Amino acid sequence: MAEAIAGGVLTAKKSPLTVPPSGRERPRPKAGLKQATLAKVRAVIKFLLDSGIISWGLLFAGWGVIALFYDPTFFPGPIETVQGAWELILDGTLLKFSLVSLYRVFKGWVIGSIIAVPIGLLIGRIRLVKQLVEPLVDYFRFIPAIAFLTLFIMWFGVGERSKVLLIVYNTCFIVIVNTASGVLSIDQRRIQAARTLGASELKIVLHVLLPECIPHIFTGVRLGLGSAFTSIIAAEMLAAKEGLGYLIFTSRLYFRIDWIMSGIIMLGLLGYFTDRVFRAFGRVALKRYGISDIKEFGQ
Amino acid sequence: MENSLAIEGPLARTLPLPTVLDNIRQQIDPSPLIRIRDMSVCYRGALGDCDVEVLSGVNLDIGQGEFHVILGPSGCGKSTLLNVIVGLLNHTGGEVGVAGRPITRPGRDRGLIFQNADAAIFPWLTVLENVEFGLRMSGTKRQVRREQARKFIRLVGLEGHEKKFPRELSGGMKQRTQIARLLANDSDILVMDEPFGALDAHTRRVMQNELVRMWIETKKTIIFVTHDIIESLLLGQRIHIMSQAPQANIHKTYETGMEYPRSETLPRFTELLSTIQGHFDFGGGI
Ligand SMILES: Nc1ncnc2c1ncn2[C@@H]1O[C@H](COP(=O)(O)OP(=O)(O)OP(=O)(O)O)[C@@H](O)[C@H]1O
Ligand SMILES: [Mg+2]
Repeated sequence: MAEAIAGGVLTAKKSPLTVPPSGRERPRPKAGLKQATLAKVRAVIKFLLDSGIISWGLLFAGWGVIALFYDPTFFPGPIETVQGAWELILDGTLLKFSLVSLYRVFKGWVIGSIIAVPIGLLIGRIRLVKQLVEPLVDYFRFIPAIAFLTLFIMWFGVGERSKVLLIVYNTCFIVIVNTASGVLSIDQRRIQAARTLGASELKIVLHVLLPECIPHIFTGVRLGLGSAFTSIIAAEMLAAKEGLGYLIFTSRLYFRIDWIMSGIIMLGLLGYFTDRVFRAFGRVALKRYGISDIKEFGQ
Repeated sequence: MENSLAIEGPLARTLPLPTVLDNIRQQIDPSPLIRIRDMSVCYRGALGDCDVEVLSGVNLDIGQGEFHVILGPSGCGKSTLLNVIVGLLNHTGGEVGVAGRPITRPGRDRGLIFQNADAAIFPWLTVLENVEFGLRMSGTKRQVRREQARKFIRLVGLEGHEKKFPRELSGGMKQRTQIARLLANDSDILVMDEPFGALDAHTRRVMQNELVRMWIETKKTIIFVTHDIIESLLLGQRIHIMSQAPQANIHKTYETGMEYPRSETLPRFTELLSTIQGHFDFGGGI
């Protein structure tokens, strides 16, 4: 009985809609027991949904079913892909390429963010900077990094520099836009309060403006991480000898669709888990600035 | 009685109002700390023109160490007037000066309690960090400012809540945080925009008494806005009544002339109460 109540209370807390009005039923032990098992089933389903296991299961099932109708060399199913990936895992390619790509993404993303945040702050704070920079940002953010691929290689060489720059380019716009909109949307009264407390303009930027904008900056940098990941393929398409983009791009020469798929899946996984780590960081380290984990879709 | 005031000290007799005001200006306080002359304020419209002239022809003298209360109906421009005094809003006509210098920007000499605490305290800082903010900005040593902040947190009755963030506080607690922050910063002029409006009756009374005690102790200059007549009578040396917007100004000034702490049963208190209430009840020119 105690368990039944505990179970009921537990689900009631998490999703009040799924629990029937239990006030009348609780006194009857039989109904209570039934309810307890029901509640448990619901809890399991909720866990499966929340953790994304059901989404992934459905995706893999659908993929497997569709793949049944096609030639595996042309459209490999999950099993063939895992087999292909296994080859890459065994000879160490997958791990090595993943690390190489991750490192490039990380470098471009960090540099891009470090450039973009101050630019965003300045746009939001100084009218002249906004007037000068905003049109250019609004123009260039619609030109994807891949359009500059050849130019970057010509200008910056075939080495790491052009690849990282490509990622920097792709990362910075969304961070700039988010940071600037954060600055522009903040409540002026807080800045006024700081002024009446004797804060200089520089201190206002550091101690009011920046903390106030941290949720916006955080979102921008998080979206920037997505942009950095999506540009790694372009960055590694030409003049690369390793990396997931290289894997995806060159596997077509061997007609190894399963390797392409492995590369794609690996890229997604890396992005997914990097994002998780970044979010966890935000939740713990930036909690006081109002970053929590359950606000929006994909947040 | 309406045209005359009673004043303590050398002027403790009944005089017609204009004489009293002249005496205040010329004899007691030849150069007031805050001097406002024929001041007007416009909120600008979309085209930068004068949309509404909220304040017009405001005259106000506030001497060093005085406690002034500004009383007026909602929307008459009390917050606007305070923003001008603090330097957050530029007046569009007349003169506003502090200690002989025109006011153009905020300064540490004039601290403000905002009407809305939510918009004024920093949500990413704890109560303690909020209270010590001003001291931190002026480079006070950590140890010193902590001690100072704790003292004022105790004063406003927030002891034990130092480590909490604003989102964990009630409305009244946030307001008390703001008050502690202002007091800790030790400005000479305290400008308070309905600071106790969000507090329950008991806390409000405690805070009123504390404010008076602190004022007597430190002799700071206080400009206190409220629309609670009783509060104005409990606190102010002078009560300025504002007329209705637009083009509001100081309609009338009363000298309360009572000792602190004040009791609501004093004859002077009840007399002023009914006089002031008269302004509001019949719209008496306001
Ligand atoms: N930013 C603004 N732009 C235009 N008009 C404004 C602005 N702020 C205030 N006003 C107008 O100025 C008048 C005075 O506003 P103010 O906030 O000073 O009133 P108040 O006396 O403080 O009122 P309350 O007691 O309700 O706080 C109001 O009529 C209001 O409509
Ligand atoms: Mg107001």
